[in-house]
Amino acid sequence: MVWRGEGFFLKERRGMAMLGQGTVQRAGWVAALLIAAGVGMLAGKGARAAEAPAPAAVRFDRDVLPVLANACFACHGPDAANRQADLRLDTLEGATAPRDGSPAIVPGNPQASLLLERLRSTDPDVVMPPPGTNKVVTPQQRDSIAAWIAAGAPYEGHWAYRPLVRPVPPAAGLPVDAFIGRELAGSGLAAAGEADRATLARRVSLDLTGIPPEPAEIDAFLADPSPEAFERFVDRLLASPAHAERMAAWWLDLVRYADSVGYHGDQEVTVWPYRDWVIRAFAENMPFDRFTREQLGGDLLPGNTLDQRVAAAYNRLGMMSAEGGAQAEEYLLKYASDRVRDVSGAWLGSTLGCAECHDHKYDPFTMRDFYSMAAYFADIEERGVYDIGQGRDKAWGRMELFTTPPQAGELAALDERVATAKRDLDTDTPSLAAAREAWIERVKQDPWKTLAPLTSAASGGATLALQDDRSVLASGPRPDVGDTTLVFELPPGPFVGLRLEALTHDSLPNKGPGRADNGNFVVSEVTLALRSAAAGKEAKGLADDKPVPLTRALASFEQSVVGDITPSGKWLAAYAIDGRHSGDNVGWAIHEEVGRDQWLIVRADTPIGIPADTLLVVTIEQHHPVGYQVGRFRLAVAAEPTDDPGPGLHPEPVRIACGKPAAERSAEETALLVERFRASAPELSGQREALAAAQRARKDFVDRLPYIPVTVAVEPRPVRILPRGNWMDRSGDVVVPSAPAFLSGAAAAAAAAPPPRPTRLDLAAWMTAPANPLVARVLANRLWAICFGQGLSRRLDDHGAQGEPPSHPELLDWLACELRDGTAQPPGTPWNLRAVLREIVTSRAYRQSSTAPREAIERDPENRLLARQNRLRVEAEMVRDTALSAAGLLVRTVGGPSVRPYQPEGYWDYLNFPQRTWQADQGESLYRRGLYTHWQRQYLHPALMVFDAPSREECTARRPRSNTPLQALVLLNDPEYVEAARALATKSMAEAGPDPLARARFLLRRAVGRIPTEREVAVVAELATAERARFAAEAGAADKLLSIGAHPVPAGLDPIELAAWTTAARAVLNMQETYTRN
Amino acid sequence: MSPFDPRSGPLPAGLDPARRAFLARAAGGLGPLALGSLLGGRGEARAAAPTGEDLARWPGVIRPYHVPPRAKRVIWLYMAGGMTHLDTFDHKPKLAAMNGEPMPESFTKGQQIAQLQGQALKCLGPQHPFHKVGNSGQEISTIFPEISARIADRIAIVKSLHTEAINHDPAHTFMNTGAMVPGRPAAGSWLWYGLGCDAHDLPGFIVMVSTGNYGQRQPIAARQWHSGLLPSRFQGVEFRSKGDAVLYVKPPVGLDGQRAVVDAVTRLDGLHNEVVDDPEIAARLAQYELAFRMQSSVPGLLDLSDETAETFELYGTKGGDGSFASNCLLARRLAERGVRFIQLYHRDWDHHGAVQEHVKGTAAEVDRGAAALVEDLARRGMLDETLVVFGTEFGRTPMAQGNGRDHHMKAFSMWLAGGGIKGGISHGATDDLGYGVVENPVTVHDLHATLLHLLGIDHLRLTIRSQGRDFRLTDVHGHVVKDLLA
Repeated sequence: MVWRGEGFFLKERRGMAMLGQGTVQRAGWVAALLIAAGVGMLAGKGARAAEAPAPAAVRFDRDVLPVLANACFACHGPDAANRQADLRLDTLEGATAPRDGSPAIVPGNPQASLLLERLRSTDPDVVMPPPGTNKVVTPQQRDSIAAWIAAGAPYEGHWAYRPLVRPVPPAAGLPVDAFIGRELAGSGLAAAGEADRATLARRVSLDLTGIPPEPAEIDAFLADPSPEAFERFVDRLLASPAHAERMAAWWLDLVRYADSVGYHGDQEVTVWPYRDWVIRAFAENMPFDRFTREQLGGDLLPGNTLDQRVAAAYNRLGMMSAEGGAQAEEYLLKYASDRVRDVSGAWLGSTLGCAECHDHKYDPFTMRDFYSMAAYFADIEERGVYDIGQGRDKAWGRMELFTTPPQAGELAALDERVATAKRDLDTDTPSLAAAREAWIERVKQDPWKTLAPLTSAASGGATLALQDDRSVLASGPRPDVGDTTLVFELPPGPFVGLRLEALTHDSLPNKGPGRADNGNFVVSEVTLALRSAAAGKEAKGLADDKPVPLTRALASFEQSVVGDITPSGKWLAAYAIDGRHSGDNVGWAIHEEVGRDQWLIVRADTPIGIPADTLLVVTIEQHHPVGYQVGRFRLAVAAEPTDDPGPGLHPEPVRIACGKPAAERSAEETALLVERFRASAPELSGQREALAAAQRARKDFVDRLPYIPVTVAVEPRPVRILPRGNWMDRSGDVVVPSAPAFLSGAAAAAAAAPPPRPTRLDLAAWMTAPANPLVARVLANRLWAICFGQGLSRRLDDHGAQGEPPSHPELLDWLACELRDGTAQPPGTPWNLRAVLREIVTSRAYRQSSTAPREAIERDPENRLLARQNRLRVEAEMVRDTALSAAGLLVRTVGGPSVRPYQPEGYWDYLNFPQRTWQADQGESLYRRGLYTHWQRQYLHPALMVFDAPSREECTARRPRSNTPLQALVLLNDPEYVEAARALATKSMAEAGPDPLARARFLLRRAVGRIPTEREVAVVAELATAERARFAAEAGAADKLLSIGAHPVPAGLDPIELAAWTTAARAVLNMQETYTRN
Repeated sequence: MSPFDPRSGPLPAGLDPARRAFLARAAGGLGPLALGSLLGGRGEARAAAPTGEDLARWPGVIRPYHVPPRAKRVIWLYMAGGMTHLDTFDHKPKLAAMNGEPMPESFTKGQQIAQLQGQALKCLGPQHPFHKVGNSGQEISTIFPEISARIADRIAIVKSLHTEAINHDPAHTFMNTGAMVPGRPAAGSWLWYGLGCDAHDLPGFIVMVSTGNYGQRQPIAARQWHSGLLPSRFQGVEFRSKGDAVLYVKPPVGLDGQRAVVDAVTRLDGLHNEVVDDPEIAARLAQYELAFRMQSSVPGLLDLSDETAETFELYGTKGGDGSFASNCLLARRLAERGVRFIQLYHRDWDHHGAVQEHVKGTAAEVDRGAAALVEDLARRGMLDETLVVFGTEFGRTPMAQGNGRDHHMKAFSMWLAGGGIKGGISHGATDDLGYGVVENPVTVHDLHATLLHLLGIDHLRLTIRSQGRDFRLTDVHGHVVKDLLA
């Protein structure tokens, strides 16, 4: 696919010869249009210019396009379907088209331009935008538009879509500072001085690793006299695993990584191996083009590795539903739309999602672009509605067993052990062959005797009807839970157990054999009891009934379990005899195999002698809501302990083969019988046991490993343009994968092109192609935001017309070029994020102080000119990491399954299907970094949520930084923070000696990094002193405080002293500065 | 139009830069002691303006009102799971007559169906008798005896609602935020953002959830009260019936100990502010004060010892049991304290089976509390300024699903009462079988537009800029339902 580099806005340029070449400056890059006429018109604002740093030039993308886009494009923009008065203002051609009266814009002649007349009108019927639209164009904005028209109305192209050409830094030295310095020079503002080193160390540590530095690290940095001390400090940070984790946390927001599916039951899904892949990718500083390629299409790469398939799980991170009654088609559209929103949000910084139902109102994205983007992903095998009954390896469609390399080795060894055991079992001998023939004779004899019940009863009003084949069919009311009891006459002699056949029937849902809506059943418990015939045939348990102890249960099939409803991961036959009765809702079930006959054998080890006139009372209990009774069943008894269900229940080929003399059996039949024999021959029990043990060992191992949803390409589903986004409307065109037409210019070509159809790999290649300017700009802007708290364009989520033009367009483009082409100085490889981050943080701009004279702040309150650094509350995960790190509790293990720190009881009460309760982890898992906290989309951990961590239902490019009372409640009262305070206090008592001032200093230093002032130290020490008195006076209060949190209290500490210092530490861990990156 | 975009830049305290700069000056110039007093600290003289309360309490961006407000607050009784309209507020004698007969294909052909896909469709008549009640003669099912007897003439029943989502999760999200895609602000967040909150020690948007004993328990995602595109401070706060009423509201030690910590934080932040001169510090300390006040106001709110025996009798609860009725009583107490938007979920209306018994059971769980709330508000003179909404996310099919009903988005019923609502009326109508709307259809957007209108807001003008466009509760739709207005 080709990036043509000749987009929407650029085409307009050909028609604007009026824009003289002389206005195009600086390496052919149009940065600022210095418009002579404009300067004249703005001259009257000279006085204001002294107050606010407004450059005296009109820039199309900064001053004109946003105004037109906001005020006009909704009715006079790209969306043809809703365009009013046949007027289009987003192109020169449209704006200058002849109309009745005069054109909207006459280049060079503001007076003749109807646009200005309408903007200026005071007549409510004439003025634009119309009063009802709630939109206003200010007089200043009108002046800018007038100046721009006077200069020829140059539609010079939207800044984000222009070809990316490396700007020349305007001065020597670090290019970042050169670009910023030039803007500052005309503003009257002076750059703030360099921040003190302790502040700088903490700032850059938080920005690059998300964790504040240890005081010792700061001290080492302070003590390093070398001019390269800061660069060395930065390089250590960039090489640390913590940096990879911090970058991963940033990326996970964009790709909406979470540990649950989001819709309805919000069930858990295992995707943490993807999260770990992201961490590894950042740890090895994977080039962004490869990073992109492997996530979008790792599964399509030739000879792909497990690692690459894990990366491609990106395609499976969206929300999924398993809601009963959801329509697959509707949800497939939801998933497709979600992918378009995410890929356009995460990579293109664009709101292509807006074009699902109509052409974009502000940007030249069309509905066709939306569905063409969706078509890239139409090959991904997926279901609209998932079924959590499918088991942990199938619940969410295509899933793959995930192993780390050491685990893969262990699994291979276990596989080998299984293979060896199987070889042992398979080795035939003449004596075995003879035993086999004897077994075949036995198989022909049926050990089972089918019985018809004398009496029967079912709870809940169900009707039981005896059929001609002695089976019993249930019908009528279906109780939520209930028992079925039957009484049989037992033949005298030995008796060992019962065979229950669960049989299909046309009257049952899905033909049964169960009565549940899906044809399944749950046999929670089967009990057998013996009764003297004299006691009566009543179909219910009687006091004198004598239970038959059951020791073995086996079945034709056992259903897999999702989640942790049963410890085994199966609905085992064994649960039917585990002796657990009411309240226990697990049992034997067969969901994957509904619609087929099944059998269950329950028996004792050795036969029991049965006297004459004995009745057998069979009770089949069902405790699993709702209505999971067996719909049709037949019961038989055996005299011998057998695991053989009887000839009738052997598969037909086995029955036929057994019926033939040995010489007449085919090779396949012989093999079949050999196999069946091996499965039951007593002579082979040792080998079978060895094989079973090997298989069990393998299963136990595999059961601890995760299955993750993976991307598998299948025949692409046809993707149609859906009018108004209505999934039931099939009238739209079928589209092929294509990048947005105005960006690529390739849509038409792709539509006409013969196969092969473009793939996700083509999309990845297009996004990171050198000719694609958008992705590099978006990425550069976001890296900048990591280091300054806001982007050069603050709209990190929208680089379109409604976004914000960058404050320093050339700097942004220069950084984007550094990314795309590799750093120029020293020459580097393309897409090296770490190198560009390093370039940003080593700049003077980055290193400057965040405090500035009040006048400077008032002149540029939003710091667009970067004459200072920004002060920011750190992000949610860093809030946690900072407190734990200050306390010395933070565990630095990298990767692995998500963890569960403390969470308030009952927080998950409103989750259902299934209901869940949060079980906090123990030990180290309580103190892992915030990014490893289990991310439940519907109920994100409240301590993360209040600090603005997103639910990750959608792509999030930028988190808000809010300030709420709930945050104060978390920092004051969450056991995690109270415990951290206790650990910090303990540390101060151990390491700072007995002097209260020294302890206070220690607490403050660990919290904020810098050397605290004596006044601050005094406040903390006073608090500890006052609290010591309080705890001494209030019995039990100290112990109560110290009991919070699982971290042990060291022996020998005075509880009152520790409680007092814990309180002091709580104050320190609640200071604004502790969670502020200065 | 809002003076700023709350999501751009670090402006979470909700003040424009000029005002923040003033506060910074005030705080920085006066030193930490005065900062404490600025924030209403103990024993200090209060500065004339602005107070810490002002800092903590969001004033709202709607000023003046767009239209004359008819109500100050909303109490939304949310019947989660899809309350059947056919057995509650929309009487269909024809459906009763056709009970057990095939559903005429003219109704269902080509329509979206949930769990009944591909099954034979048979009519299921109303499962309980209806009666005409009140002076107005409203028709209400007999399973709501209290609503029928006490408040029939106060409520306006809307029988012509329809929605766009046929499954619970998107339908809830649509009902609360005006969009099926997650990420938009809930109605309560919009109102708090738009109008602020009168309570000085409670959040402006409070949610309570009760669970009954009939039918499947609906999952309720926290996104139903999420602030979405709005700053997180406008997120609904859940009042829980077990554990801490508000998450983390309980201090690890007594309130005095907590006070000592907060005072020390105030002093430490004040000292730091002398160096950095950061208005965020004053804003944050104001939030600490509000948090501190919540630690006593929340237990006070839950302490019902000041309620009379007669009130307990009215609601049929002693409170404190997490029941719907108990939550209704708490809702009245929250309304008295100035909370802007109170939402009570009762999450057992998903009656796929046994609709006769289960709908009756669930109705009994909400009937008395809802009627008592309206009556209690009325006798205290608060009903005129409180909009009470009793509604659900969608209706249920006139076709049987066994002995239950399936999800249905083509028609459902709600009622409204109180501030600005014309009582004793019905609005809109469905066809003979209650399948589709045939008269005065009301969309979810219309409901939202009407709700905002009653609170003094033009739904077109309460917007937030995000991802390059202005978002509003009503998306790009919505008309005020004038017929409902008193």
